[in-house]
Amino acid sequence: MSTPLTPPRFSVAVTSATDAPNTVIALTGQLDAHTATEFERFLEQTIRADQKYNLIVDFHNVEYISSAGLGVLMGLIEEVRAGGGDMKLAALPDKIFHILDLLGFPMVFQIFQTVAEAERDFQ
Amino acid sequence: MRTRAIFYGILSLLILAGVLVLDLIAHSYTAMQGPVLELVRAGLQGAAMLWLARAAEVLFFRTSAISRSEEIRRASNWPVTLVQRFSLVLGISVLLAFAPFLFTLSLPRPPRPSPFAVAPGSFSTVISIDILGAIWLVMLVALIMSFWQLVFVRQSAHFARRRFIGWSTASVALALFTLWQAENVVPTGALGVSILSVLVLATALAALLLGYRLPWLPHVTKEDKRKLLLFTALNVLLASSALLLFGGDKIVTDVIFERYALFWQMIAISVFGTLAIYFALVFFSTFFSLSSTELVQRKSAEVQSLAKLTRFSSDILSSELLLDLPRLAEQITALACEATESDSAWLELQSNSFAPTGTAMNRAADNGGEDVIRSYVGIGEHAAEYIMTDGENLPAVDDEGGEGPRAELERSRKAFVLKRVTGSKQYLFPTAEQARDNRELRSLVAVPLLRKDEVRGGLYVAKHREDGFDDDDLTVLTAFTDVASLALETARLLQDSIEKQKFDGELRAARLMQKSLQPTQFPDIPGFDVYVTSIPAYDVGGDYYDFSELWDGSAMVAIGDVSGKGISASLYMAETKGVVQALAPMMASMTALLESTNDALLHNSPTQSSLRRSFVTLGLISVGKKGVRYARAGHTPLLIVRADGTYGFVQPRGMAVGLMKKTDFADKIEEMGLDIVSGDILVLYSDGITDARDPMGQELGYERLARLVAEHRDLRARDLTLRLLSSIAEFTESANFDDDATLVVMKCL
Repeated sequence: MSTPLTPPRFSVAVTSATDAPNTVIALTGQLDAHTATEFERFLEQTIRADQKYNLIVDFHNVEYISSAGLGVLMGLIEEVRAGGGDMKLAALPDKIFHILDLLGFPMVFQIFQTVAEAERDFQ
Repeated sequence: MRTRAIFYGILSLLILAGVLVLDLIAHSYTAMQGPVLELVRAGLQGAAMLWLARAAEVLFFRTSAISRSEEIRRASNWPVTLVQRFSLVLGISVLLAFAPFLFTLSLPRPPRPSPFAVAPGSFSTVISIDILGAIWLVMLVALIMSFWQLVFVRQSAHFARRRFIGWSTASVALALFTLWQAENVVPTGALGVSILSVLVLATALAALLLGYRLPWLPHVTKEDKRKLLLFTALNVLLASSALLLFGGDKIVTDVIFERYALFWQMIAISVFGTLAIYFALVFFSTFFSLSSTELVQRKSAEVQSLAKLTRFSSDILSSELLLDLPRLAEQITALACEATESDSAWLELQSNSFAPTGTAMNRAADNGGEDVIRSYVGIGEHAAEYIMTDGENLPAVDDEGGEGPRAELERSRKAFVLKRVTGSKQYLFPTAEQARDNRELRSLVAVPLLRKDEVRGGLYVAKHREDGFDDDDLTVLTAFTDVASLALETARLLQDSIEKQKFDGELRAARLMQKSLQPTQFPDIPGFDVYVTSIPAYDVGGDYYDFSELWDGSAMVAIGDVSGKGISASLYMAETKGVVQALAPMMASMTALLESTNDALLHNSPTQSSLRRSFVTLGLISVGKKGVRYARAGHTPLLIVRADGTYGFVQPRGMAVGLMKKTDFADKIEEMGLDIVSGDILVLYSDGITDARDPMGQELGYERLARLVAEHRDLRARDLTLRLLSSIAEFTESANFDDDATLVVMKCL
């Protein structure tokens, strides 16, 4: 295997400890029509297989989000809430917040400046 | 030609009859006898022979009439047939040696004092002798003509003729010399013996030369060579017997050619001797070429298959096969099987449909994968699949891609031969009949089909025989596959371009449909000057604008932006338009309209979350009894530029349509009344406008848009819109937008 010359355009990972009360999911790069599928699978795995419902999505390193990426968030929020938890969005870059704001996301999701604030809100 | 030949034949028979008459007259008038009469007889006989030969050539032997191409076509078995026929002629010749005993001849013998002094016994003897002579002449002509024909096969006509004439001259010279010696015309003794020896040697040498080159021999098949061996041996035997019969006891020729017996005897010796030498040569040449036969045959088969392939490739580039990719693949498979004389052949080729890059209209992705073209000759799909994935016959491949010939092809990108294939028997039977015959495939050649160095598939040929292929087969097949790949690629490109044309046609239709969905005439909104423009980034877009009326009669302007791009977005746009158009006249307020639209769109959308990614943002302005009002469902904020040049953005609460369930949606829309006076300008726009970037990557943004509108606020709505577009084009330094761009300008009069 050769080392890729360019970093992957998108990655998703859990950055919180496995026994932590909240699961922090950090996104990096471009969340477009293709990578949204990867994000969706990851979220579904977290919710359905790992039974984790207290989710914080860390947008700190997100460069771009497409309608498909927004669709993933919208598509799974009901399932999270039905499971007794919530999905909170944190550390949104201005541009991304602006898009979410126009679309009315703040009326559906709680949005925080930092991951720490979101964690505090869960307690 | 034929009638003339028959005429020649009759003529020669008449001449021989003339000789008989002459002999009968001479029998009565003995005064006529003498050397002059003998010379006349000899001349007449010679003339008869010539005419007979000309007739025979046309009627039976056709030496010069056989065209070169026919010879080449029949190269392998034509000389064999000739040799076989020769056996018949020689056999008859041998039998003719006994012909004199069929007649009751009264001859004074032996010995005769001089060949010129023989007095025939009776009329019947004269007749018998002349008839026998005529028959023998015919036989001699038949012998020489048969030989002439055989010598000419695949020879340069020029050289063959020269050799033949050389040989005839030597034979005749030998015969004449012998005769003259007997007549004491030429010296006898030591000198005579040495000249005779030279002449004999010359004749023998000429005979050897005739059989020196046998260019047709290598093309004779093995089976035919065996036949050839048998018949040449027979011919040698027959020629030798004839030689003994005619050469040993002079009595035979004495009877037949009474007067020139010695001359004719020498001719007979020369002819039969030559034939014995010639056939002995052919026999040994054949014998020694037996071992090389297969090699020669293989080479010639290769040449033939290459010729076939060349013809095929030139045919194919102009044929309709190029329009039918699967049939082309079938033809190629069949041809590969035929050209290598294999028992089975199959081909598989990935043929991705076209996928316009850089657009959202990737049809290949919509179809969910790629197409593989497969074709089989003499083998079933399962058996072929088994062989291709059976790793037992190949060195282990450490790749994850699997094992077996197919994986090996993809790994090595080179053609290879498997000389011995072993495998579970039940899978290797291509067909039920072959399973019954207990015939499995035991050797295999695999050749990759490449497109720009990428393995796109493979061509496989297989035989029941072990060790059925060698490196030459590999060479031929690789050459063939190069041509085949080219043809397949051409066909694929052709098919793609046809499909693309079709697709472009559909796209044009979609564009026309979308155009027809957009209002062409702007309604009269009391108190406002309205202009709208919409520029799709691709052929069809996801932006939306429309005009309608609400329940209370107020006019409504709508702008929208569907998530996504391209055809799917345009379909969602059409659906939104339909819903809004249908619902608006029944709705008392824009909030109610948005709520119902959300409900309708959500109701129609797929329930599976992964597909629920389409939504639409809507911005609505109504003008009616309640004044000017604005509602925003996730759309960009409304820009208001006042008459004095000040401006501001209005962003009431609101949520995009199609994202949330009914129960949550209604209270999230905030409908806002606007205070608009004459000269104020309302601008609705899609994010394609504000997101337009200059070459440095900087976005146009809200501020810049607002300032542009303020700057040109004195213009009419239409002129203002056009001015904005040209200003944006100046900013982006491009005539096109990356995203669909829509502008609605409403100026209060």
